[in-house]
Amino acid sequence: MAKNTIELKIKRQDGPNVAARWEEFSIPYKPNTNIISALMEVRRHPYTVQGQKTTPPVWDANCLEEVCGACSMIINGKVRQACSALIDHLEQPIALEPMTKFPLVRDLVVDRRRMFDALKRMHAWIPIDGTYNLGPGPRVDPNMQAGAYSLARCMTCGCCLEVCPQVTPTSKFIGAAAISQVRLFNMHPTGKMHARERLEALMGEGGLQDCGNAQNCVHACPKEIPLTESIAAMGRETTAYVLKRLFGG
Amino acid sequence: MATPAVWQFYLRRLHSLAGIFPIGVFLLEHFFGNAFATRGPEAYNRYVEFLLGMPYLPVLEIGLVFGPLLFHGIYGLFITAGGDAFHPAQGLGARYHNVAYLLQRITGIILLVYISYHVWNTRVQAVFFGQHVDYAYMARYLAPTYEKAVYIVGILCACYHFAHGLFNFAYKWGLTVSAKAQQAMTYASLVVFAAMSAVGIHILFSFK
Ligand code: HEM
Ligand code: SF4
Repeated sequence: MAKNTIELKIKRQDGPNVAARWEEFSIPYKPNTNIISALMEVRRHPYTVQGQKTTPPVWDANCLEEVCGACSMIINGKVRQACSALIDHLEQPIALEPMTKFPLVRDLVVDRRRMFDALKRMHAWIPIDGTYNLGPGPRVDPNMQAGAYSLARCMTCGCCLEVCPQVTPTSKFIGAAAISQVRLFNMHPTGKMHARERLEALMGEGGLQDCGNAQNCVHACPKEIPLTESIAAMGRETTAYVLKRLFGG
Repeated sequence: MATPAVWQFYLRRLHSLAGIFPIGVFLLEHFFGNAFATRGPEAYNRYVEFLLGMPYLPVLEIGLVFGPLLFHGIYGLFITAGGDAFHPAQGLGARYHNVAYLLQRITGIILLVYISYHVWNTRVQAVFFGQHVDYAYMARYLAPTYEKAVYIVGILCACYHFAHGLFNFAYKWGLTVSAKAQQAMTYASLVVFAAMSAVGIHILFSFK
């Protein structure tokens, strides 16, 4: 069955405090189209199926190869990246909605600041600059490299927060991504030097303890990061840390 | 660096611990003890006498049962309010742990009501209204069908909440880290649920 159009349904919202509306679009079919190129086609000719002129829809995108995380949106009910969502694999009409756990900017654009704020609070980096040259870091065995690599693929896309029942627009929970990043930087031999600070931050408001064990995150992560293992691993690390603080050793 | 407030972390861990000890341990004792009902009225009444004759009984009852239960139950309501219990597993298919998240909260709330009712009829009546609670009383009290239905719901909720709580506890404290260990713990908790439910319902029908 050769289709010669692509049918889209986009949830439109002009700004954070305006009511949302659905608009339907029909664009010419082209093979290998992804959601981003379909949106670009709509933008070129912003007329709904009813023939009404509308504003060009707004979305966020950057790398177009599923490594930056900017184009996350809800596509046919599932949160994922628009760049790697191919029209040929999707049932039409294709419904596009913005993520719901972040403040809406406009149409499909949301503000993922809460994730970046969490990374800052968690001290999710390794300081290598000091007042003097720190020298080369210690060697890392290949096993650990492989483990760290699987965690390092996180692109702060927000899928894991979107599917989490403990993350709501009002809750302070930092979500699986930041917890997993603490694990990554705490396993690194140089990063370890700040392990204590990260654990303290992780045990702060909205931290690890707010996880409710629904385990949706690990199934939503497009990078297949073992998030539930990270959460349990940090559970273990905080347990050990607390026992150490209580009893010494 | 300013230390972030960590009291929520400790409170949450205390809530988690309370679910296992003392509440979970009490639940196991409660099932084991009441199972004397399966050995007839004399055995059951001897067990009741033993309980009532325990030294420091009020301290144990309040310190190890009512106190922790009240803390766990009330803080559990706050935890429930802090999340979206009916969150759908958007496009991820039917996910057991997402359903379990909801069940943990629903069974917890039912338990709050059920345990109040259960304690009112079996303990408050004895302590404050001089009702002699023994096998005969229990058999009479549990005779109506609706009473059996209420207890079946209560028992199933308690067993599921505790059994899945074992998984939650192991996950939260980092006892089960690998995906394999978590999977095994999920199955183990379902076995505990099935076994405890069978025992609980058997006890219920032993009062005749
Ligand atoms: C028979 C009595 C009860 C037992 C044996 C019990 C046991 C447990 C256990 C073992 C856990 C797992 C701990 C953890 O999350 O790490 C738990 C969690 C929980 N309980 Fe209970 N509980 C009981 C009554 C209640 C009641 C009355 C409520 C009131 C709503 C409640 C609400 C909760 C909630 C919300 C959680 C989940 C906490 C989380 O996800 O972090 N429980 N319970
Ligand atoms: S952990 Fe996975 S789902 Fe979560 S932000 Fe990182 S890449 Fe996205």
